[in-house]
Amino acid sequence: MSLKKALDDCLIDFDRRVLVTDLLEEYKLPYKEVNDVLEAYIKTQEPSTKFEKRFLVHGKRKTQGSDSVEELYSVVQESKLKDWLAKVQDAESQLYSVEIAGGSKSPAAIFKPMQHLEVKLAKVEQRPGAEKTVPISNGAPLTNGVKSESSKSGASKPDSTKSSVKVEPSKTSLKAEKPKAEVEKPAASKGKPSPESKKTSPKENASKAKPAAAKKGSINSFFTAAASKPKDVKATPSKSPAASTMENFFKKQPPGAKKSPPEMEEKTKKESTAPPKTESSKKKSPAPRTKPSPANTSVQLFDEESAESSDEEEKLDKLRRNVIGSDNESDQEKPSTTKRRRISDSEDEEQPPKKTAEKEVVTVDDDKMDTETANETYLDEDGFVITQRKPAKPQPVKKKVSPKTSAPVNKKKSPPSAGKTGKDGPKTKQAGIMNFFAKKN
Amino acid sequence: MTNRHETKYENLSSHFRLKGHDYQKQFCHLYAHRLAEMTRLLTPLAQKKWGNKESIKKLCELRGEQDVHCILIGTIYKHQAHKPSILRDISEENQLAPQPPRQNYSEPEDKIVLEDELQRVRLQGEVKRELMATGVVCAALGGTDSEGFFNVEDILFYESGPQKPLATTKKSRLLVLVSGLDQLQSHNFVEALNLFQYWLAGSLGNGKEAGAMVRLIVAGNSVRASAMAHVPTLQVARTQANANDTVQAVTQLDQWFASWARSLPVDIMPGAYDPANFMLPQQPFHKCMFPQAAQLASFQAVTNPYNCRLDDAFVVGSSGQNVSDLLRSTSLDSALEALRCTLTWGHIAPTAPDTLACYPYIDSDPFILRECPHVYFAGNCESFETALHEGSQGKRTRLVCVPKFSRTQSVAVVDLDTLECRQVNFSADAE
Repeated sequence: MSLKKALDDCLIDFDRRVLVTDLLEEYKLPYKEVNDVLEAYIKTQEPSTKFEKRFLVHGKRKTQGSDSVEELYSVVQESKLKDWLAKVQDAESQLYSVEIAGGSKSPAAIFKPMQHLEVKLAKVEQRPGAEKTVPISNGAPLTNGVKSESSKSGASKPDSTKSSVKVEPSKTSLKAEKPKAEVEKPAASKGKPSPESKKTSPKENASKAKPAAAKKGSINSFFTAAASKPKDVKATPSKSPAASTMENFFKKQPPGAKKSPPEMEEKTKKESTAPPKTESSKKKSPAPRTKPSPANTSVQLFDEESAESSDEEEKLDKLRRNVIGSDNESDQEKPSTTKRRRISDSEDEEQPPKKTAEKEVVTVDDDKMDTETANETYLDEDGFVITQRKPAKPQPVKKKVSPKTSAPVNKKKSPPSAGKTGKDGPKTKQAGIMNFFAKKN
Repeated sequence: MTNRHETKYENLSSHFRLKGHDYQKQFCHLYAHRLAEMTRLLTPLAQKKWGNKESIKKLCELRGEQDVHCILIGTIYKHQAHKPSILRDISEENQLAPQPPRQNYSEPEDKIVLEDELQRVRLQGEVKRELMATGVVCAALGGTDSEGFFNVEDILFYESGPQKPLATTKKSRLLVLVSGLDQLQSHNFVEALNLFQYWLAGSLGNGKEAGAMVRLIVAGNSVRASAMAHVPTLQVARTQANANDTVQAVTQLDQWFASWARSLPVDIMPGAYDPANFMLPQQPFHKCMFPQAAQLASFQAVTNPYNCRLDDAFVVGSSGQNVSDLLRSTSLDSALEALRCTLTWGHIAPTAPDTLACYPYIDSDPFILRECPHVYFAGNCESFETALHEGSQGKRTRLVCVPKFSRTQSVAVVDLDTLECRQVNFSADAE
């Protein structure tokens, strides 16, 4: 479908910001052509609806503090366009984004790897060795989603680059909103599997395991993603009758740790009802724009939800990044948790990495603390940590203590961790010395 | 759709690839090899410049005699009171007052000392002490005095050796340099990045120019452009979260590089804050980090520093650690001047291993510039700067300080034919 037809059929939703670069991807047109069509359309609509437009200004200007001239591509609002055109040499402007003024949704930041190339390498070669691994990656024949994935990433031979370009329109469909939602997801949602990966291999359990592993986002998942091919090669035989081997169990465990195998199956069944649409569209994608309206409507329906959610995710993501970027947060958190952590750390070195697990450990430690404070360690008046090594009963400890010390008070004050760490750390010196003298006496 | 110009490409960075990982060796070997190699290179130049009348002597040959006029070849050691010192750091453990960290520890009182294999002598005279740095090898013409100083009359640097002539083809070939993509903070300059990639692909009405772009070099700090806040914490969740962010950023970079590499050849160098090894030379990112992009032959991870040849043009560059370290230890006022100095001294990173971490080589110094580059760049600079450096014997080198993209939203474009360089800025007006 051409851009003009899409505009005429109101398939492009200007409630949200529509980028010309997205339309380039969508309709595989040169920038100028998209600009012209869009401008013409806006002119027809303008009296009734008011659009908020931003322009891409290209020109040259002198850099501050030097005589050198820098080339400039700047996105400016319509209201400032005249100023920009005046102050930039050889200025020319084109539309960059359009949205209905006061649109219902706030614009989300958009960035995705480009697919449409005006200028490209004459020969996009695949690195030797990479070619072989791709088809096996899911342990499935070449006809499944894996092939389209590889072609999408542009990893195939020159011919496949063409197809990779063509794959996009069907994926993104004719509606301009769709790419936004799709793009924001990978950028925004932390740990969510990319939509591409969802689409490419919905049927495969193994391929499903991949995004799930990515969801965890751990270093392990990174390596599993990177080295997925050899793993999957191993995983293929597991689909055969001998699927319930221990090896297979461990491979499946990390991604779907929360789910039991039947649940996994159910989920795949459920998903297998929905994804085939996308997959089929993907398979048919090389024949460009052959499925206009039904796909569009479904996308529109779907898009409403996904757009919102992606917006929220984007905001959350921004917030989270800002928070992580700032140093303050860690400082604030520190006092509330350090004590407990220290306890748990000293008590049990082999902590599981999960936060929840850590909490559990801490509670266990607290219990320990209660039991151990009575008999193990305390501070004497001089502030020395005295550790009694008899773990069995508190009574002998009391006996050995000098009459001066008000043992119960001190015992309460002394943190068990101090005693414990005292055994290993530098404080052992003090404790050791005191023990030495105590024994002598 | 048009095809991109093609160039002959040769990766000349093999000497930066580490063959072993022996960190037990002392750094004296590196200095010894640097001095030996540079002495070999400087000797004919010194004789050519000052004639055979002046003899090249070792310090031990002077034997404390006065008024001996000669040429000394040695390594500069800059004695600086405020230079970072591990001993001073350790003193914190002794509960002494910790030294405040300094951005620049160069002072007029700094002392310049010339060291050869066995001895050292303090220099005075025609030595710009503020502009000198530890690790520079030079030949000094002068004489000794009664106070034990060596009065320098003239000084000679290697100037990066000979340069192959640059054959001019009449077609334009552009090299694009970008650094500091800082993926972790890319949400702050999303639109600039979007414009940049479509500009690379020639979609912004710049098809002709884009066709001439023959290569993109990403000069470090693609994942992260500033130091991670190292707050002492035992919280596993925090480190886990940081790791997650980094992994996600690398994944996104992979997608983009895969996309860009279909349009033109892309070389990615590691930077100071990237998840790569810390010491120079930084080794290429492992291909597992970029599974999508690594499938394409047009994408490659390279070392930092990085040498390559594009047709006849010899390109040398780093991710900027050498320049930033030099700016800390000298009074040089700009990254461009620091870059120029390294070119003049004939050494990419003279302050390594003194104040810049570097692998303890025992049999070579890979940072010596044996051939003068046509394009010499440093990444992650605060702003774009460029100059055409004209050395002796008509050598011309385009110096480029590649700005951080995350900060300036700018890239540098060098014409390999004319060595002209310009900045291209992508920005979005704040709303």
